[in-house]
Amino acid sequence: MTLYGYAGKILRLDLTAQRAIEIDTGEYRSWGGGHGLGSALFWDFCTDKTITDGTDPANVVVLTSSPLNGTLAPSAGRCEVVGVGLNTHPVHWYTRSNIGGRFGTMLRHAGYDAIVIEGRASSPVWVDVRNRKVVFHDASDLWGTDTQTAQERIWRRIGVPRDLKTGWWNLNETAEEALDPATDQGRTTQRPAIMTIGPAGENVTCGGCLVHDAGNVAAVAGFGGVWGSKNLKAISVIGTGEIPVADATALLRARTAIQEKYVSNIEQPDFEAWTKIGKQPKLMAMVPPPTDEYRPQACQGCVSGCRARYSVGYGHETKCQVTSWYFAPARRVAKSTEELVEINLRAADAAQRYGLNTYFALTGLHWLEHLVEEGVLGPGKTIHSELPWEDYGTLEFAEKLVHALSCREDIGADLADGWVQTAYKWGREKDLRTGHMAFSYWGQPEHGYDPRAEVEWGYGSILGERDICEHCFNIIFTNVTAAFAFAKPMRIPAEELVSIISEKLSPYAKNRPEVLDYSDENMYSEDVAQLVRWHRHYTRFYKESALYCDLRWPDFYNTNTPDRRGATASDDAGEHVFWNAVTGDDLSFDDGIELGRRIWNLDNAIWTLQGRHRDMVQFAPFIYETKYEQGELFPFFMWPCRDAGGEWVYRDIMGRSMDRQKFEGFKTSFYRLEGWDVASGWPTRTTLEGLDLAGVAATLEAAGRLGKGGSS
Amino acid sequence: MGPRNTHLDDPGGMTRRRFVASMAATGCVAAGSSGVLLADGRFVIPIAEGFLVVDTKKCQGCGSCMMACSLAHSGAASYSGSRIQIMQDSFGDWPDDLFIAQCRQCQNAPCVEVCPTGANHVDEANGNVRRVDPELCIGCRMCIQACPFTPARLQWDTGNRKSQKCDLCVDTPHLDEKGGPDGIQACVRVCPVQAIGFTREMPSQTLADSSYQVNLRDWVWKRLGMTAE
Amino acid sequence: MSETTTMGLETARRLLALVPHDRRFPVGQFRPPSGVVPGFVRGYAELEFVLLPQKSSLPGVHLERLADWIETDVGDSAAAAEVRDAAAEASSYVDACMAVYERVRDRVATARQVIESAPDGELSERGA
Repeated sequence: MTLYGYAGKILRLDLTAQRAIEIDTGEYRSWGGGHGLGSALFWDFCTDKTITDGTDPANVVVLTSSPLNGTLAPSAGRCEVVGVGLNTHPVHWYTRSNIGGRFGTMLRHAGYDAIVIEGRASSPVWVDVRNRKVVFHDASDLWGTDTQTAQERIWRRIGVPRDLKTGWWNLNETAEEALDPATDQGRTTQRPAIMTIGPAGENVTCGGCLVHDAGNVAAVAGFGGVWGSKNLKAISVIGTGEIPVADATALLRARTAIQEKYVSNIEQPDFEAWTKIGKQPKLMAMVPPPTDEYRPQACQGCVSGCRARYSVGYGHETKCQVTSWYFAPARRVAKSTEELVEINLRAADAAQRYGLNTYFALTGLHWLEHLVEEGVLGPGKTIHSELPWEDYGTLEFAEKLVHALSCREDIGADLADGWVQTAYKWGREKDLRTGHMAFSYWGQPEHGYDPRAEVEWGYGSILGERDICEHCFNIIFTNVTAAFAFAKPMRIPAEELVSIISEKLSPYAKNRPEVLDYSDENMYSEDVAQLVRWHRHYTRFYKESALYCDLRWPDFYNTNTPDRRGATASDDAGEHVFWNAVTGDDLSFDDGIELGRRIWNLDNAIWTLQGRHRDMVQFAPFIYETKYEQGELFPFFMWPCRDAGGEWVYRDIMGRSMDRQKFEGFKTSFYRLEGWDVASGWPTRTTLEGLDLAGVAATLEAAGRLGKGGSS
Repeated sequence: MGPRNTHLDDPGGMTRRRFVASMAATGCVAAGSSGVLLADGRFVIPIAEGFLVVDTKKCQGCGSCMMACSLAHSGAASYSGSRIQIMQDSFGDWPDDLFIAQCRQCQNAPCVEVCPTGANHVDEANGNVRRVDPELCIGCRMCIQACPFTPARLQWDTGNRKSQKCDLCVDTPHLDEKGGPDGIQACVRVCPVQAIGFTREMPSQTLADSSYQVNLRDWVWKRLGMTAE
Repeated sequence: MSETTTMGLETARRLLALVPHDRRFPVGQFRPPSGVVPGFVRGYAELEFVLLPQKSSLPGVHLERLADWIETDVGDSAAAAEVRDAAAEASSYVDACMAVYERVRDRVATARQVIESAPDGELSERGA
């Protein structure tokens, strides 16, 4: 029976024995793909789920694709990575990361829906996967190379033509193989998609990333460091296979609907449209482009590329925070905007080549600067550092800092194990209270959407295991705040906006606009708990398992359409429409949310086995003890709220802190709604069995960690 | 908003280039194909009534055209099965970081000329598109070898052991719109940035890639921050 | 009379110096739809970059508090008053930022000119 939407096989890589094992995807079909598939595989193949150290050889890392990868489902080309990470505090939680580009698509063409990485190699290896042929190679000569060099060397070893225009190359190893229909591997014009680590991963730092092509990075979880601990340098995938699609006609029709109905017409675009899926390609770098000579560059199947490859030879495919990790220091040194841009993009390139997560820099660099100014950090100081702090802001300093952090040198020797961990080691706990070190949740830095204001972001992060980096509702802030700044009329008034969104918040919050009230009075309410539930379940399936892009989905509202309804949950181009066209399922939008709930519960079961308890679910002290002041980030932070008369308005919600007791009440509401034990936050038997997870309940019970109580 | 399709010229009317005046006068029909062998040994076939042109400086490299091509023709998602190929070097500099290889529907079509069975033929019922009839293809791959361009614009279908090539979507069972020169082309339809165009005007038949590469960037592109030059 | 002729060397140096780290001023850079980059500035020259009008991004500056910072920490009362006026009079936040940018740009340019024209005018604008 054809397994529509799937390659059909999952590859297990036993690094210890350097052995490849195939299993059938069909056994895991009920998990969909991506994160759900990854969590199920982790559950089955990580034999000790109590581990709290990502470098433990028992740790299992899973790379997973989605049935939608490479199928024309719009902006659904990403790849999910799960496993115990290295970048959370106080516990290395089972966590996730996500990476764009070509890897997920090419993995499927190579014959696999997922790769399960187990054990630890005795010496560095890289793995060559071609049309289900798997070969382990010695990587000792690649160890120490940066991520670009590693990929280019592997391409050459595999035999990829250097010149793009050479085009077709043969995956067969011999002429005879090509002539035999049973063995012919076929030809391709494509380059193998390679996921690799750089020095930051090799040195097992918490900032170690997985890097693919020039600028696709799975960063936040620290999986690069996990690969480093496993002596795994890279995995290369290439294939000439095809993915069977259940209803290609429906798929093409839905894709056309997206482009003709929901996307702003490229011939006469609405450049200011309020939509996520419907924008024209736009560079998502945080600095201006260094030149107008560039192309937008997109992940596979995306309708709107957000990165760039330039003529100037730097900054390729880098976007978002990576392009601005050095923004504030460089401002001090640059003499022109051009110089400022070049310093930032070259600093970004340095981080990409070392495979280093730069998210720490959002607030971490200010902390370091603070310590230097205080006279605590520097040559011969309490915290000795020989970095040239007098050159802070120059590209040279950025490169030295990246090197130190990646190679465990200088202050990198401490910071490689975690920034909050280092604060404790350096006796700087007080900085976690003042906000000097704004690492909001699980030892991860503030994202720019502070939990005290953008509550769904903060709650989602602390109830999960990492900074969520899910911009589902954040688009409200972006649209409204920008319009407010220009004193432009709101494209959609507050009341209409929350009404449109809540139409799509099925099932928990459907047509309940009050869940979107971000006011002081409502921020701890059960309404908001329902919003957070929906968000957790939506993202666990649609965004992290079906692997729709965070920046393009969900499309709640959309000013390109006559009724301003977005593509999300729609009958013509909703997320589930593409899923069904590809897989042949008959999934309703709500079914997807329910599948997300199942996945979210499995994740919580893993955290519970790792030692999670509700008492640990706490923000950093400064979130409770200081206010998020106006102007800390922007002078206003506009969200929908109900005023005293119950009317919907857009209001600035800065100037508040989180109330510890009320947050406890919020947690209780959330746990109750989820059917979890409100005393511990652990899943209960009733809830797990209701999700067809009786085996998970049994495991928790055997571990003495099954929640008490019934379901919601 | 109505359907968008990057047709670069008026689809109606017969152009000079689409008329091969000498065909009937002095030639004879070549065996197994739609061409005419002239007395001087030249092989002449009717000019196609449609051509794909591309803007490699504009392409965003999303691969949607490749997916749409294979889906429309075979119902499966496959890069190797796509009639249009996008090749990229992530580390390369614009504009040389990307190359698009699409069939040129050549005037002289060496792939048609060499086909020993007439499988690779001119489809006169569908705008003289050069197509491969899989029923007649014997898998000799001579057409692939005859393609004068690098990379070859014909593909080897590994599973079916036959050649295949762009037919401007004449034979697309999974497309619920009419394809071909008088219909739509899946790659043109799905390209989010309109980096692929369809034209009835035959581009120059030089061997240079540049003749099928056009500038499809306009004021919108410039407004988005990228050069239209 | 031009500003250059009225601004003294000491004032020019003060305007281009960095304030102590604990007197830094919080700013952001909002680039829809990418998000907001947090940060701080410690001097006029950095502030000029933050306020520089750009096609796709907005400065994140609390203008009333900026005026206080300019007055108290940078020590430029005249500019502070102008910032307050701009914030109060502009029809939008973006217009206000534009007005403040022009003032800051002019002050930085003047200060640099004063220092460059001083006989022994050498002053590092870079701080640790």
